[in-house]
Amino acid sequence: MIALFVTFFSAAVLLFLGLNKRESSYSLFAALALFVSAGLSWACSANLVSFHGLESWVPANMMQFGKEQHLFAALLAFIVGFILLMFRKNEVIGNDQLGLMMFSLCGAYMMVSYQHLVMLFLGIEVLSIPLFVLAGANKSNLASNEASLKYFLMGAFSTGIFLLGTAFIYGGTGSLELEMMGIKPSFMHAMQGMPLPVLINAGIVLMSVGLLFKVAAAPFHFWAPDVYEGSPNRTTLYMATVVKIAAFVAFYRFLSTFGGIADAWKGWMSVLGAITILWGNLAALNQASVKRTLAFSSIAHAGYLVMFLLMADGTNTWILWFYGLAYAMASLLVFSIANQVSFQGERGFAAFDGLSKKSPVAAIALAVGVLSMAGIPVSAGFNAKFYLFSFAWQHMPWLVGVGLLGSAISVGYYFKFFKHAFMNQPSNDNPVVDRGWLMLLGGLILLLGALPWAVLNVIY
Amino acid sequence: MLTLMIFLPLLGFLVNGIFGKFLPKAISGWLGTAAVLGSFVIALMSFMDLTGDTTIPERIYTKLFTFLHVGNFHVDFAFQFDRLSAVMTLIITGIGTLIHLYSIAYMHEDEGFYKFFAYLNLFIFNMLVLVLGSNYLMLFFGWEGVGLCSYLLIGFWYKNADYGKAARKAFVMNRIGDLGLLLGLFLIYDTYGSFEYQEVFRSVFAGSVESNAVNTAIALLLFIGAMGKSAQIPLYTWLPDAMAGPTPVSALIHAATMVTAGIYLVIRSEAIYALSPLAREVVMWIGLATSLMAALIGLKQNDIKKVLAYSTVSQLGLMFIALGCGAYTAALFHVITHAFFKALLFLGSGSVIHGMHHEQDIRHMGGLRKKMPITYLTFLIGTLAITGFPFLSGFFSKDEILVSAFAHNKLVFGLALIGAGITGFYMFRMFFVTFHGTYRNTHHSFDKVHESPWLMTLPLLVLAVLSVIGGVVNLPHYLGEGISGILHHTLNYDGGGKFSPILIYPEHAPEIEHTTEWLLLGMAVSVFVIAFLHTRNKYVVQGAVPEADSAQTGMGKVLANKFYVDEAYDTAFVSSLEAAGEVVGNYVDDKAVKGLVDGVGSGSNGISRLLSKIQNGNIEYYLVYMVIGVALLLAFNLF
Repeated sequence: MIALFVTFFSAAVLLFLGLNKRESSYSLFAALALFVSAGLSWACSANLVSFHGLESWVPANMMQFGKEQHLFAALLAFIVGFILLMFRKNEVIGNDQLGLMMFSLCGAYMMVSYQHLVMLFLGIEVLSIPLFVLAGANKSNLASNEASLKYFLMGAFSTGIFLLGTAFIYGGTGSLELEMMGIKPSFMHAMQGMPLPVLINAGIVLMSVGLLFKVAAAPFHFWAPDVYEGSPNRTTLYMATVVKIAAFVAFYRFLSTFGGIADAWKGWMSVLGAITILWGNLAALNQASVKRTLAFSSIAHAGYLVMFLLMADGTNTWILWFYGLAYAMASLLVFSIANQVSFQGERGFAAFDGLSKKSPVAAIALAVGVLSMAGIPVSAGFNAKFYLFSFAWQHMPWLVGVGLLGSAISVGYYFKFFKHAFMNQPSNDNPVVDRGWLMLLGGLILLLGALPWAVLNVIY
Repeated sequence: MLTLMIFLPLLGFLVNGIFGKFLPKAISGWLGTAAVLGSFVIALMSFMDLTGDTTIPERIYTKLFTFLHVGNFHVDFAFQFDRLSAVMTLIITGIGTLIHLYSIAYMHEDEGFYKFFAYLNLFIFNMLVLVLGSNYLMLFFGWEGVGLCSYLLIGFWYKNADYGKAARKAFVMNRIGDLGLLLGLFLIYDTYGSFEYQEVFRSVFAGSVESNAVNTAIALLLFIGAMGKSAQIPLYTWLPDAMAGPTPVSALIHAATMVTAGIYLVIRSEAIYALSPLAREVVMWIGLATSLMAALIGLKQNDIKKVLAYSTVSQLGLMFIALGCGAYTAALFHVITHAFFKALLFLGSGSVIHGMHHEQDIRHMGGLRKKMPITYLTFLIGTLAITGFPFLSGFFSKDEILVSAFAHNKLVFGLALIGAGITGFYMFRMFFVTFHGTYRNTHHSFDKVHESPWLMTLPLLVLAVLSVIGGVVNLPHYLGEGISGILHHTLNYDGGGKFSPILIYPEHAPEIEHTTEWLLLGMAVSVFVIAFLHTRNKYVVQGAVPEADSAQTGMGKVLANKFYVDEAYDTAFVSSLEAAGEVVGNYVDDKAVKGLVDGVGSGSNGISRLLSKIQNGNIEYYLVYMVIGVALLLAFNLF
């Protein structure tokens, strides 16, 4: 809850500060506010401080911040803070955009902490509406406009489906509260072996479609490559990390409620997961554009995380937290470097040419990030995949097999980064700045690779 | 001590990696060498302790920290030093030290000298993690680490497109292997509830799993991992390509150490393989097929390193035959002797390449024995050792494999003997063409050919001595009970009553009558003699020179082209995967988007046209896909 307040009010302040100025210096302020939000949330999760007065403002059946919600809020704020920090030098970001991104983050907080489906819906909308604007933030760029329009049209469509699903669920269970749904008679009967009411079943499917759309899982991912490619880099990064993590937490909490009737949705969900993994990885193989490759890679990661949904019993959220952290740090590294070397319009991998000669530090950081995404030890990404796969194995072994196959294929396209960064001669002289942050992130990825449990013990 | 042994090379890597730029070359090189030598000394001392002092437990165990602990899911980051790990560690650090020494001279002209040593040290570190880890997850860490280092080191010299392909191939093939290994690991955890070797094997031994189908599945999956790392059919084609790297790398990684990781994995998992005769048969036949196929290909290669590469693949196949027959000692024995003579041969070939100013084609060599006496002599010893000249190291180890094959299956024995015979043909062919006959190079005059400096010849001499006497680690019993079978006793140690032996189900020596055994020996020797006489007659007496690949016909052409396996793989996997990627990619990325994006690039299209394209282009399709998806899901769920 505290993160929501700090983020919201600093965003509001930013908007007023920037009424007649367009300066970038405010992104430091924004990043600071986000790090404060993250820090306070973490402190709440560790019971170092508490803000009971604040939390009592919102009824507990609407939104609740427990330990896990605080941790996810901290993670999301931390990621956005880093995004603003690392992208501040290359593009001038107006305060309106900073504010919008932070408002959108408030929606993400709501998605991780909702107790009521109306709050979930509200969260999704608060998250999405600023994004329609942010995707089109490069007003002079046609691709950016296209991205915005596409995201908006398809988003509206998926929202409709999601809402219909919510209505069905209400019709089937008679409640929109997570805690109430599970004890409604219709639901209890299904758990005892009676046929599942059609309304509940259809409701789960339709709501899942809405959420699968947000995480860009097949076959509802078609928007992602176009939108990711057209949007400004920091928006893309935001969508690939924050939106995805928030949507998966929401998804997980939603499905946990229906954990008792998991057989009704586990089958098709894992098939969709397998399709997503294979589709994302295969399509990424042949992309010429860096951002498109990363878009398909992020689709593949959504596929891996579908495994996480299959173990929805409310006890394994730390896996998603760790996976999200690992994936976000690697994405930050790779996107930030991609942004710096290619900001003059080079979309292909040639932008990375000769990076190891221009800036060895950046090249090594890039390598660490890419290896982490590919899941090669010793890196945070490997541990995240390892945790995820070893827990999912008990639920759906064949899907883990598909996941491993997918990560084997993924080496094919992650390899391109190496080839261009280490083998080729420099083809441009775009400088790489912010080496300190890159080193920090690379170091964190390696630390989480070598001592994951020690770090988790401290934080989680 | 154990921790120090493992982390010394990592320290070397860090120092060279971070400060290497500022250090003089001599210091970088010696520093790297010293780190590995230090590990070797500690390993030797620990090994003495382990085998000599009865108060020390059966294995030295060090836990560094908990890697993961959730509920009953527990994995430690821990190392163990037992007799099997010890043997592997001694090979890795021992040969590693010699190769580091050699590299100081071999790489002295290279710009990235310090980087090279940093990578070599990193490799040694990862290899030690692989063999010294106390559970399967640690093994996997090392497994991935050595793959990564191998890839970095292949790429060290060759900065062209070819290299990109070679390294990519190595990486992808290894990933396929890793896929099998990881699945095997998950299945092990699922079945036995632990990754720790001791706990897994204890459960296996206690027979906690009713059906052996699970064990067979685990064994086969682990073997897929071994196929990738140890270059067995169908995942072997990366190894010959990996020879694009510097020669010391080929010697260390692609001959003596990394490629034997698969053998180590199978020996380590003996308890599981022992329960699965089917898996062992598969291992044996794949080993046999690899051994024969690689030997045949080796007959027609003209690049000195390619010949050695295929020879390595073939010898690895031989080791897998032994494993398949249940002769774990024989396999490990051959790992040891092979490490000696193959490292020797690779370093020797490096010396030749060095002396010939980077010429690798044996057709452009000839008569080198006069200019490079030490290289000649040591290379001769290496060749004799690998081809099975009586009483050299390779003779004993190969013979032991053949004997166990004979006891297991006569057909396998016959084919393996043929494979061993072919070894003689291609090795002597290469040897005679390189060192005998007349000098045939037109680029450099014969006067410019020179012997290598002492830093390079010293390791050659040491390895030559080891190749001659290496057999002592496991002499056959007919030479006397007292001195024979040291390695056999090491591996089959019963743990002094405690449960920690290496081989859970001890091996039995093959029951073969003495006369039969002598007969087998005679057959092996006569095959050697035929190969020697034939190649000598052809390449020395008649002075023949291998013809160009384009002049090959019939079977020779097929062999020179390596059975067209690369081409077949290219069509079957690479192209089809890329085609799949294209289909999947284009399905989404259809013409309209491309047109739009290109249009933005060239700035030639008007906004209205673009907008109209957006409007009536794909987004409708996307929505249709989505609707179809929803409809299918609902239909699937409700009807």
